[in-house]
Amino acid sequence: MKKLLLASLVAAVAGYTAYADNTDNAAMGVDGTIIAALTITNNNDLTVPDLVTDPDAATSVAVACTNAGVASVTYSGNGNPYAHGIAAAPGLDVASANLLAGTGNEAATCGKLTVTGQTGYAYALTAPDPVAVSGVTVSGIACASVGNGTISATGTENELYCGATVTSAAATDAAAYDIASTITVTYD
Amino acid sequence: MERFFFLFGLQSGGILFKIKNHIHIISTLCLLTTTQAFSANTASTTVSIAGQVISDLSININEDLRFGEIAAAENSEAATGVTIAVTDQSTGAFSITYASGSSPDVSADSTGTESTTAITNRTAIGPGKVTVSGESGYHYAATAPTFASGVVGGVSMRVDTFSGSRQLNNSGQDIFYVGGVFTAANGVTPGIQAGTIEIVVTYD
Repeated sequence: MKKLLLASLVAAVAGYTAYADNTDNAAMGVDGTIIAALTITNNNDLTVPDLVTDPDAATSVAVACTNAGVASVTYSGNGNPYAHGIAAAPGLDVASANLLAGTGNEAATCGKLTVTGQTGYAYALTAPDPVAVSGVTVSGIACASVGNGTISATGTENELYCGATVTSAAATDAAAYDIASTITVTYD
Repeated sequence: MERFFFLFGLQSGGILFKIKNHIHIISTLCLLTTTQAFSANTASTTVSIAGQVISDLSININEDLRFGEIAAAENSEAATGVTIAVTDQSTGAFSITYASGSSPDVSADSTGTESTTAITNRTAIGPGKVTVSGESGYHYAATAPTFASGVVGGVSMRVDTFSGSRQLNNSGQDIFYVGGVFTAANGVTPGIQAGTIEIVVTYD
């Protein structure tokens, strides 16, 4: 019996020692990359051509921009001041007396933004519709760039040109408007 | 042996517990790192969208263009006619010019001679008066693309061709006057001639 007890004790000690021998350590490598901060800068705002208000219906004008910053203008309803409600009226006239006299604007200027960040990385852009002001609504803000959403080492490829649609509700008072919109970019 | 396995089991559980704590701490650090990275990787700017809503351009006819009377041409005589010309756009002053033999003030008698007896009432003669409303300070152009409708049989009516650009005043209004020409071909049946001519105004 004593022998058996002694044997058990030895076995227990031996087992505990064996456990200690099975502990080990190893160094694991840790690495990472810090990429350039994403920034967006407003170079110039979006200017929208004149839009005629209609007493009975909504009118709108859309400005679309190419990735080179070339704007095109499309009117809806009777919003075109140079062909308002008239089938036989002349079209847009760059020699407009209003322009020559310094009143009126029939040209659009695209908003221009510049994005900087880590070259080769993609980003997503969000531009929610701002709140309407005095019957004037801005919607569908859309931007285009040569880089098409990927940051390039070439500065010009990171230039965004933005247009939007402006709608005047029926019987909106004629007035100038200036509505701010927040444009956000995020690594995607 | 039973105690050995019991001790081993406890020790193993302790190790596992420590590993779980470690994983938990690592996970928390990762979440913090992710949050910081997201914040640094987002940027915003504000764009201003500016433009001008301008007033509706509207036109109202205050006075029609009234040519008055012209005498019909006799036999093989040339067509007759009258021209109403606005001489002062600010007041609407105008002149009347009759083509030869057209004036109703010179009527033919049965012998073929003419007298100068006035036989017409000229008070109704005058240019059309038009009021335009729109955006203050803006220019507009006016056109009259169609001849009078309702005028038939060798009779024509037209309004003066507009030129240049007119400007709405500080109240967003402007008034202009319209002259024109009324002619009747040889052999036209005498009678009242009336029609409408569409006047169109457009921001210019």
